[in-house]
Amino acid sequence: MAHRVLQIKRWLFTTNHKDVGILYLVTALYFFVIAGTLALLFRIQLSVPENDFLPAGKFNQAVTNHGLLMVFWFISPLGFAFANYFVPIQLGAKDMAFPRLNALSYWLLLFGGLLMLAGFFMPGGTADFGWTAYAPLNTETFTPNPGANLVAFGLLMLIASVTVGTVNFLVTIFQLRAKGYKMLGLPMFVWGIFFTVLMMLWAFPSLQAALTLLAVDRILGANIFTAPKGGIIWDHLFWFFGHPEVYIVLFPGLALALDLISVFSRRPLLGRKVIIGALAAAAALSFGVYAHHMFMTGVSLSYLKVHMFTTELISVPFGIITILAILSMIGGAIRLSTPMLFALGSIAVFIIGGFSGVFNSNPVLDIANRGSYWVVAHFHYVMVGAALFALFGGLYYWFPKMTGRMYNETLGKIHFIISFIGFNILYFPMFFLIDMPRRIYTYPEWTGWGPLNFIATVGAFIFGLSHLIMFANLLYSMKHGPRVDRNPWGAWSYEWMVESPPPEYNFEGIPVVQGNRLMVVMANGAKPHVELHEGNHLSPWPLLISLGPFLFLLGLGMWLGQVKFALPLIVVGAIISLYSVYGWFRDDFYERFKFEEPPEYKERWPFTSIHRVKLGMYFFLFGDAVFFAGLVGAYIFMRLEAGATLSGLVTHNILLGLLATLLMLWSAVFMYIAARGAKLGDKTLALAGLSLSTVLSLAYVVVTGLDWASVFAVGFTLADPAIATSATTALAHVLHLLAGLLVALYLTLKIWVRGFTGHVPETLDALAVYWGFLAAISVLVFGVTYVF
Amino acid sequence: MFHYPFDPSQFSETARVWWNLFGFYLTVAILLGIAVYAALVLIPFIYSRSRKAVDEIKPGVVPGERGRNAYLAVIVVLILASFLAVFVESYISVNELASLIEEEYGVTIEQLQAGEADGALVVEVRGFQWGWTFKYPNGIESDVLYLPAGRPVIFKVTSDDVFHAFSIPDLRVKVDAIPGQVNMGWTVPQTPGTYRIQCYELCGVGHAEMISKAVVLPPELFDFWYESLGEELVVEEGG
Amino acid sequence: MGEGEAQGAQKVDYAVRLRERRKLAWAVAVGFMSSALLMVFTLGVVTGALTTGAALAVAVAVITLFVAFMLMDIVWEGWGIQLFSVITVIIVMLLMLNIIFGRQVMP
Ligand code: HEM
Ligand SMILES: [Cu+2]
Ligand SMILES: [Cu+2]
Repeated sequence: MAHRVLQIKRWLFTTNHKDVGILYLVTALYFFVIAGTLALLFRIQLSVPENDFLPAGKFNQAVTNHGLLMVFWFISPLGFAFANYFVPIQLGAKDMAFPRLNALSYWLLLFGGLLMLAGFFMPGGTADFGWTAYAPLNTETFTPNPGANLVAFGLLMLIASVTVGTVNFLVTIFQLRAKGYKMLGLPMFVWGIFFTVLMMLWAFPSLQAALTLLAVDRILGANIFTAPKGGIIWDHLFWFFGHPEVYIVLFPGLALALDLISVFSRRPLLGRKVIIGALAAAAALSFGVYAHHMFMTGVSLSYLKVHMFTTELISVPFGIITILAILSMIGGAIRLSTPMLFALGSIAVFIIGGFSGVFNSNPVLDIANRGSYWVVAHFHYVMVGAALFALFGGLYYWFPKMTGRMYNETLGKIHFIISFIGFNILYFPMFFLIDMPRRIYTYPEWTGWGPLNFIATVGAFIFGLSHLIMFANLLYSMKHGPRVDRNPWGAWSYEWMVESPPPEYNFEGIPVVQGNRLMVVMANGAKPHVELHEGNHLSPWPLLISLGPFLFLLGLGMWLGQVKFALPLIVVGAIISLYSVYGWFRDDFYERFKFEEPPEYKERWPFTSIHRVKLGMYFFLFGDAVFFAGLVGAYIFMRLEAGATLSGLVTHNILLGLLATLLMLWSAVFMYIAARGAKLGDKTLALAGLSLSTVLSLAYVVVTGLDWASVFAVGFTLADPAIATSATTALAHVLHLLAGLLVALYLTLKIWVRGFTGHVPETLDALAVYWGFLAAISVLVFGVTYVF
Repeated sequence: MFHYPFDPSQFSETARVWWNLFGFYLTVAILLGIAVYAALVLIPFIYSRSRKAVDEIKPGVVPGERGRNAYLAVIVVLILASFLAVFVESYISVNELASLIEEEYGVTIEQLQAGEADGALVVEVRGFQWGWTFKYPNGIESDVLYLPAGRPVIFKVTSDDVFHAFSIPDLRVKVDAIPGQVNMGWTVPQTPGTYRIQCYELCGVGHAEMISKAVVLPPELFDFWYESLGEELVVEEGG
Repeated sequence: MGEGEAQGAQKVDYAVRLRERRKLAWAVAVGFMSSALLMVFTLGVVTGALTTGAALAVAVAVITLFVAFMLMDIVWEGWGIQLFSVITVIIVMLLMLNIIFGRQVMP
């Protein structure tokens, strides 16, 4: 019994990257089952013309949630399950750079998903506007369903999860490599994750901006997306995120397939550096192609041509990767084990998916493709086909490592064959349904679409049910499979040099790389980690700090939908949130949670001398810059497009604005001085800087508030899209500042009471960077929304 | 039975452009595809039975760099070349979409964008939840779209509420209907008949029912209808 | 610990002190300089001397980048951070340019 309780505690409070990886894996597969069931339901509806299995509203909800769950809560988390489990080991690290934040990522993801599912149970139903959530259909006016609020909240929690995870992975990959491990020597999977998190870093904040504006529309009754042409700004913000997102989904799988192909053909990849370069090129280009989703929106032709060019250009790196992957196998001793079959299957369908993408890249051809089943076929070939097949290959590949036992090879192959065939029966006919609009719940008999749809539905069942074979195989083998030694595949990377499953801290010594050899050395023959890692590995706060907002947002969503018992939930959620923030700070105050590998054992190029906390802060802010750019961009758009809006010069008091900006600026200067004080060990200077900065930033909040109060007092309202967007920007800025003030308060207390212990100087240094960023943003906001 | 992969090129000018381009892309895709798939299938087949195979993956050893630069360069150049071919062709075709109507029908881009041209019929298309209305220059409003064969038609598309996408798939016309904005599209219908009009952008629960019909008439018949101020015409179903 | 090492540690410490002092002085200077710029800029707008959008945009961008690069320590960091900052600026510009140019009528 006690043992069982301990087990439960372990899974709830764990911060170990391998446990978190397993949690990710189970959660991803859980959402896969739910989203897959939704898909089967609407495939039944579509199997014959004029069917009435699902009515239109239900159908749209199923399609919408299927898309969102598959993209955000299944495929990406599946890739990140492996990334959590294996990237640290492959780097030669004992955990992630920020283990608690890693657990936090997971819990935010889980609760975000649950929040989204809760939408189904709201009276009036959940979101039904498609995963792209086009505006203004997604606003309160056209989708009053209260569940849609929960979907938006769930996505915001997901974005929080992604942001935290992104920062964590970047710092880990940059600073926790084994001594001597050059970036270029890392497995392709790590490279794939590296580019994935880079794209996440800069892409997700754009979605965050779009959703924030949507929340302002839906909850505060603003008029942003319902303004004339307002929907176009959603297109921009969504697709600026959306196109990188599809590569975010693809890259972990694609990179993994490359590793699998190399291991199972016993050959190093052909042109490894070229492939890495191609991945980098594709990742970079992904930010400049997104208007190919807007070919029909009437945007100017020369703009479209640029995006047509870049879109077609992006097929070059993908072509290179595919061809080099195939040619790499020449001369190898190829073993067609299950993981290899999945990797080859992934490449096979990726080729069709990529070619069909090139068809879409041309505005003329896209006249037929846009909004049709051709596009559905295209993106399922690349997302389901390429990404999912490769990741399932990874599941088989790493199964012996995670469990110490082997799965049943025959069943694995059967699973591959059936799912591969089912997949093609499901999606290939859709290329022939180029006439059929997507997201219609039914179609008349005379269209002639019936037979192809029927075939697709048959394929859907074959494909969907085939995964039961995998589940059965893996669940059985987990307990009863034959035991295997640590390296059944004869692979080369670090995870195969440790036991299966790996010990708590992965390595019983210190991982070191010399030349091209991976090694684990014992320092003086002892097991060094025992002294290196004091403190326990468990913390309740990541769980609680996600549970609080979950309950709060659930309550808020219920309140908006006028459901009973909303208020208690809001109150409980708020209490848990506050208490867990306090708890986290208290742990830090007494330095209860210590986990850090000594930097001198690590390869940290090119960030050799910067502390991990500050580095993490930098990465966070690089992403955050895009968030503010999205909000300010929305304001600029409104000023340019929605004719009747007034310049900030008219609506605001520019001198108040100047005063506020100067206050913010000097607040940042004093925070910076405080950080210098901490580095110099000068307690008085640090405390003086901190308190002055705090006072000035509070004054900034007050002055900004006054200014906005005067704007609203004159009679301007959120119904004016320019006011609504600039108010949202100001609000976001103030919320950033308040969150920062919490940390400032904590640091003041800690320095006062305990002096410069632990990471205090570095944290203060990072906070000063944050304040500098906020000052820069307030200058930008002043310059754009007051003056333009 | 299937409307695809059939050749829509006789239905309209835009469909012709589309079809030629589609054929070009398909040819390139099939040629490249055959080569790539042959390699993908044959290489594992050959080398899983090969005796001379080498094992170059050693546990704990970072795999070496492979591939002579010349070899890699050839691959890169080949891919770039096919990209260039595709790009040039698509660039030409996109321009053609604008130049065609100018060369053959004397409607300039400016006129197209302004939505007024002498030789062309300008139809105002309004999407709403859930249906379409079509308004003609002489004031006729109709929920069936009548078009003359052989004459350029310009669609000025807008929406009352949310995004819709106005499309006559067989004529290869597709234009987003966006509230607060008027988007232009054009085609020259060639073959009289009845065609499906449908919305291609999810617009709420009625999206699937946003179907309407476009009737392409011989010019004389169209003129007759147009002059009689849009009385309901009885035409034979077909096309 | 040997004699030489101790001295080395002393030296690093001294270098850090020097650096922090310089950073401190620069921060105060940045405070004054950007405040002055902001006031001049506002004055220009209020009096109507600065009217065109381009002049405003340049002024705002310059002050923003100035503040960001100095107060976020970016000038003091290694090239890694600087590279990432430049990429971020490019991506932000990309988003802005897309929003401005990706409309029906190009400006
Ligand atoms: C050679 C590479 C690719 C090219 C040239 C390409 C091009 C395009 C284009 C032009 C569209 C817009 C079609 C339309 O809506 O009319 C599109 C849609 C889409 N593509 Fe790709 N694509 C490529 C690869 C990928 C990959 C690798 C993925 C994901 C793993 C992907 C996922 C998607 C998705 C999800 C959509 C539809 C989004 C929606 O409307 O819901 N594509 N692609
Ligand atoms: Cu895209
Ligand atoms: Cu519709």
